[in-house]
Amino acid sequence: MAEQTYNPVTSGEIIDRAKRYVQEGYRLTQIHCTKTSTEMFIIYTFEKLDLTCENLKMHVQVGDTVPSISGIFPAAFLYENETHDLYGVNFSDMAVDFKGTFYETSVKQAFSMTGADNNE
Amino acid sequence: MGERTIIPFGPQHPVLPEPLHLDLILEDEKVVGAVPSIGFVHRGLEKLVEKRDYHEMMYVIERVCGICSFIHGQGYVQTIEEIMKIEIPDRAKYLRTIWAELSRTHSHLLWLGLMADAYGFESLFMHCWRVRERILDIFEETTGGRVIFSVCKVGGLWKDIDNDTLKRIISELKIIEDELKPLTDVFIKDFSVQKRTRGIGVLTYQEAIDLGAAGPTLRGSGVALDMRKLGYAAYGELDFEPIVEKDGDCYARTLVRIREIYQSLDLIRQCISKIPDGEIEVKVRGNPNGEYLSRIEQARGQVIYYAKANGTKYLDRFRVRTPTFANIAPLLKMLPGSELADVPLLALTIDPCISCTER
Repeated sequence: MAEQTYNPVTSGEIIDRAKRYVQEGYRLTQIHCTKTSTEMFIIYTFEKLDLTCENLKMHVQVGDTVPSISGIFPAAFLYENETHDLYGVNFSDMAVDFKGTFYETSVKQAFSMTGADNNE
Repeated sequence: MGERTIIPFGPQHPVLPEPLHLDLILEDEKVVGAVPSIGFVHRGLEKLVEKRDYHEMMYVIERVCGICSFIHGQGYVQTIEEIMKIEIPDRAKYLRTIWAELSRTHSHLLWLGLMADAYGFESLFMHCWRVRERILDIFEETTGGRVIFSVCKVGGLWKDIDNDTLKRIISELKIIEDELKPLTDVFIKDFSVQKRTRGIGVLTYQEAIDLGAAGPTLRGSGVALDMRKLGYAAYGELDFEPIVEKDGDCYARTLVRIREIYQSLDLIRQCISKIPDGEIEVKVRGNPNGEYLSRIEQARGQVIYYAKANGTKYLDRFRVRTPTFANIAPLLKMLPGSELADVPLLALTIDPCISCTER
C-alpha cells in the first residue's frame, strides 16, 4: 500500500511551487477543496508520466483569495471555478473566470456548509 | 474575417445525450472559440458522505454513473481500504479486475455505437450495441444487474463467480471477439468514416499533457499514461502495455478505444487463467480515520477519488474527479479551427459523461 504525503503550502508560495513542478516535468492532475468541522483546505495534485504523484495542501477559509495557477497549468481554471462555486474561495487572475456561473446550482457555495450547518 | 456569431450548443442537442453546454463562437462556419457551462444536473452526491455511513456510501457512489458504475464503486472501496490498511484476498482482486474490464469493454462499445450514430451510420450503431448486450448479459448472470451491480464492498466482494461460469465467460468472449472484428474493421478502414475523423480535432502530445487530458483522449495523442500500470487490483499480475496512437485526431482516439476493447478481452482471459481459489472478503472492524487519494483508470480515463475520514462512520469528504472533467480543457483546445458540423463529433470524441461530471 502506497504511503501518501500532503506537503503544506501557503497562498503566497503556490505560484513558485507550481512553476517548480512544471520545471520538474509534472502536470496538474486535480485541485479540490475539503471542509471538515475544524478546517478547510485545498489539495493540489501533480503527477509525472512515470506515475509519480505529489500533493500540496493549503489551509484556507471561505472568502479567502488565492492566486490562480491557470497561467502555469491552463487546465487549472476548471478546478478553480469549481472550488469558487462550491466552497466560496476566490481565485485571482484566473485564465477563464465564470464569476460564479460555472456550476448552475440552486444553492450557492453549497459545499462550504458542514453537515451541522446544513439543515436539509 | 467573417462576422462573429455565437451559437449555443446543448444542453439539449439531438446528437448529445448529456447536458453539456457550449457557447460556440463562429466566423461563418468555422469555430474560433468555445465557452463551456456545466452544472445543469449537479446532484451533490459527494455531499451525501455527511449523511450516509461509509458502507452505505458505496451504493451512492455506484450511482454516480450508469456506465462506469462498477469502477466508481471499486474506486471508492479501494480508497477506504487504503485508509483502513485493509488487504483484500487475491481472488477478490481478480474478480474486481474482471468486472472492471468488462465495464471498459461495454463502455467502449457504447461509445463506438454513439460515434457511428453521430456520423449517421445507423446500422453500425445498432450492431455495436447488439454486441454490447452480450457483455450486459454476463453482468446480469454474474451480479444480477445490468447497470448497477452492487458487488463491491469495503473489504472485498458480496459475490463470487464460480469456475464453471468463468469458463463460460471465456467462450462468450470468443463470440464477442468474432462479432466485433467486422465492426471494428468498418471504423478502421471505411472511407466515409475516415473522412469524418482523420485530421479532425487534433490535440498534440504536449497539449494533451499540458491541458490535463485523460484516457483515450490522452493516449490518442501519443502519451503512454494508464493508471492500471500502478498495479491496483490484479493489474500488477497481468501482462499489458498502455494502448497509444500518435496522430491526436478523432481517428486516433477511435483506434485507441478499439484496441483497448481487444486488450480488455485479453486481460479478462489472463485473469480467468490466473485467478486463485479462496475467500472473497475480509472482516472489516472499526471506522476509517485518515485521508487518501486514489488514481484508477476508467474507460473514459483517469479518475481520482479522495476520501477524508475522521474516525466516525461518516466521512468528512469524498471527492470524485472524473475523466470528462479533465477532458473539458482539451475539448476547448480541439474546437477552434473546426467546422460547425464537426462539433458534435468532437464533443463525442472525448466520450463525455456529464452524469459523472455532475456527480
